Amino acid sequence: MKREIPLLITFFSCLVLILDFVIKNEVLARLAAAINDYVSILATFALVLGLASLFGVHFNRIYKKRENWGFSVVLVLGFAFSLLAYCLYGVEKEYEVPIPLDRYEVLSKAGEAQVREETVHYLLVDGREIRVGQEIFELDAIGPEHKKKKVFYYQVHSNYWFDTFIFGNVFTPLGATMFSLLAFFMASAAFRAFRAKSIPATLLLVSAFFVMLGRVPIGAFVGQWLEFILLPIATLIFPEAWISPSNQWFSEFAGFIMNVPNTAGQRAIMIGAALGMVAASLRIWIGLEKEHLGRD
Amino acid sequence: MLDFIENLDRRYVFVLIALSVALPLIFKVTLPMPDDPQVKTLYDYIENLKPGSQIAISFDYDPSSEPELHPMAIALLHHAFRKKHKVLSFALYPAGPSMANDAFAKVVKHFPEVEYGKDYINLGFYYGPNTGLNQVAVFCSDILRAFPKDEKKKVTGTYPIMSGFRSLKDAAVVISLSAGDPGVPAYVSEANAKHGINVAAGVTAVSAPRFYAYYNSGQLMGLLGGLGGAASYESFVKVKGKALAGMGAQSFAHLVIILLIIISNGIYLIRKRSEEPRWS
Repeated sequence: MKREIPLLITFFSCLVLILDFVIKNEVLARLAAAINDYVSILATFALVLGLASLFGVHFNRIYKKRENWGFSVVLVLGFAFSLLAYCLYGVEKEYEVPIPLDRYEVLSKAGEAQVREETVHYLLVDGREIRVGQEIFELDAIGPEHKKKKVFYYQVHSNYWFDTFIFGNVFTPLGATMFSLLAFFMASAAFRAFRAKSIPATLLLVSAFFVMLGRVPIGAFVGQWLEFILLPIATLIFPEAWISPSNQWFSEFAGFIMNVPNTAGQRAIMIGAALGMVAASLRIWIGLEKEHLGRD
Repeated sequence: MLDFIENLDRRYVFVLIALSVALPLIFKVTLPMPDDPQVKTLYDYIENLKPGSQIAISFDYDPSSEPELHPMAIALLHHAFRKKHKVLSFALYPAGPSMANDAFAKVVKHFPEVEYGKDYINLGFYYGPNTGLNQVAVFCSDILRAFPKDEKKKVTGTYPIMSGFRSLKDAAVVISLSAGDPGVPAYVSEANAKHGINVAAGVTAVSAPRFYAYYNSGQLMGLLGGLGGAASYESFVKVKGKALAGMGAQSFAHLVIILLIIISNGIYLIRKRSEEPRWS
């Protein structure tokens, strides 16, 4: 039963999702939606397991002082700090901070955004103030002697530590730096390794040349310049031929490469991968593939 | 001389690339962008929508892809608010809502009449498996189930913008600004293939070739590829953004890389002809 029940769950879940894709039916749609919810919940558990595993690995590295253990310390501290900042304040959440009247007037005059005035309603019950909503406050049955209004002034602040410090000043520049480093390494690698050593390599090189020039505006200037040199020569060699001058020919040829050979290649890869995925999914669906159930 | 160039220290290459990127940015070299047909289809579609149409933007990227994808988001928001459309944003990337907040903040200041909750909303991030299919399936059936509260932690259903928006099927177009998975393939497979929703994509230059197949089959109704796609959209919308400014730098960087490749291949051919097999 340890294997049969998971296999049955797999079979019926897959059946519902496949039928939902091809048949328009309210019951199937609801079942499929419920399954999708469960998948998201299960994925969240997987995330927690992943985090626990990550911590396990790095604590172990710090404990045993393995090579580069200092980086593990940075990782653990960074994670703990981010988690704490998030748990205390929440990402991107806005906080309403009460401000004094004089500050409100200054901010309002300066046209400072997110500064607002709020009226709060109170009922006086036995001398005590009880905060109520406007609907209750405006009930005719409540006499004016029991009503009280107060004005509060607020300014909305985002959480500095998470929003500005961690996200804006650490995460964003680090992410941008990592990605922009690629340009340097790609240029260096292209200089060293991009050689016309064979026919396929030459084709790749020529395609790259046209796509790199065709996808940037300077391609039009280079095209114009080449045209200036090549057009008279071409006219001399083929005087009868109709040669259309166009400074966009790099761009047009790059478009041809992207739309025709590239699309054909991408389709072949995608359809091949999709067929493989269908075959693998089918094996899991009908229970031929049981690796995901473990070995016990 | 040939030996020197052949064994050129990679730090020289780094300096050349740094200069080719930095100088055009410092001297603000801007070059006219040629029209990109994949970008124009999306621009024309949004331009011709009736005012008040709902545009859904999925911010499926984080700061590492910001230079390429953020200008797209900003240009799209400019266009949408100028045409008085409503914008709903959500994310399949954890950092996506923060990117959306930043893009909204940069654009909304140019449109004082635009209000949060009435003209635009940031629904937040919805967690799920890496393929993104489950998340998009939930968005297509009932978006309030995925986002009971918005990014400001207020009940989503109470905002006026949500009164006419129950699922992605109510959107005139869903635009996924995607740095990888989860992203565009999930929207194409689920939203477009299953529900017939119009899907467009803004992707990084390195992943753009993959999505031409989707565009040419009609599964994507518009495709913005890399900084060039963003710059093209900026020139259509007539917004002087970071993409147009960056195209000068990208142009010169491409030229430098092409020249380096030509030089290295020239040396390779000279060596090959003189039968000195120094390249391995």
